[in-house]
Amino acid sequence: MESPKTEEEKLQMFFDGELAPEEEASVRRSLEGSPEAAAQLREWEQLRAAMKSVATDWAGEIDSDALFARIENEISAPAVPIERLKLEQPALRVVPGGRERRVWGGVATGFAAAAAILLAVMAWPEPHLDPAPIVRGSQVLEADFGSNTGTIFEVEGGAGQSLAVIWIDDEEVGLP
Amino acid sequence: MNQPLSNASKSEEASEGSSKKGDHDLVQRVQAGDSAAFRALYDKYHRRAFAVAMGVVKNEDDALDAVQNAFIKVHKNIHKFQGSSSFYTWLYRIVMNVSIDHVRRTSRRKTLDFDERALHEESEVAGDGALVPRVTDANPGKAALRRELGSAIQAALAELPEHHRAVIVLREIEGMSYEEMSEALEVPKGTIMSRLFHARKKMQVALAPYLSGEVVSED
Repeated sequence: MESPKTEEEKLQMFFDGELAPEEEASVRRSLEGSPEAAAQLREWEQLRAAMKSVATDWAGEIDSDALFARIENEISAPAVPIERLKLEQPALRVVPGGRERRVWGGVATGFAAAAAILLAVMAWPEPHLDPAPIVRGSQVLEADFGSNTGTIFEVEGGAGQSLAVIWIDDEEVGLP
Repeated sequence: MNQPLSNASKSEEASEGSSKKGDHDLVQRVQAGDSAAFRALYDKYHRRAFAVAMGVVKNEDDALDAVQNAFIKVHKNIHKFQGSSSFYTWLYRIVMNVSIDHVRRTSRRKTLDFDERALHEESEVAGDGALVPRVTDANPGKAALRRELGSAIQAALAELPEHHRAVIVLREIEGMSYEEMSEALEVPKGTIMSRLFHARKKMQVALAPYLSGEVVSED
């Protein structure tokens, strides 16, 4: 149910043409004996006229075609398909981690990863019986990046050996 | 004096009805991929959208950006528009949101780009290809007064809280009804009325020296 209107509310609604006809007539009658209300209406009217006048100036000189051309350019700009974006990324293996303690987790896992590389290199079996050229390398099976993400690269060393390189991202990223 | 005020609002209702029907048809055509219909909606509303944006942001270029972004959003999301509200209340909601977002972002970086803005204002005075040329008038004195009034209104609007600014711009510049403002701003009608009352009061105080009638007359 609507609450009863105050005189101020009624006056404003009258000014804005929001009253029902019978209420409007009642306010109009009451205005005759109320110079304050009439003065208020005049001030509102002046304010409205001022704002309308200025708004007309604001909108009067727009270069409509130029603005529409800007809009059209944005609309018709070809969107890069997600599939293409994916293809443009290097084929990296990204191992996402948890979402907490980002900085220290990243540092700690960086050390862990470095240790893993070292261990992997040291543990790589020495071929004793194979007469083929000796190829050493490193391999990381898994790394915990904590709250960061990172990438394990496999690169070819100078002697043709496979080397594992771990890159830890500075910031958390969304899953690809 | 008061007779024309309410009657004017009501006399607009008939043409509004056919206008809404026309908008609905245009929206359906845009939804079907008709780019001419999109241009027709733009032609119909972009100036009014610009005036609304100008009431919220602080300069023409920002208002143009707001209108541009609003129409891009309209184009992008028009398939979601169901027609339960009128197109223009939907459009003004977008224009208002984009403009308010712009003001918030600008106020956050105000200190950083102060120098840049000063340079920009200089280039506007030079008239170097801005989309909105400065207001011109055959009578230099009158033109100066109108510019002064324009600046005073913008300064007064800038002092209002966002929710007050939105209602007074939509009501006084755009002539929206309480119902339409309630729809566009997604707040109850009672809130609209209260905000409008306070916004008017503040604007009256801020513009007191200008509200003498002579300055604001429309030729």
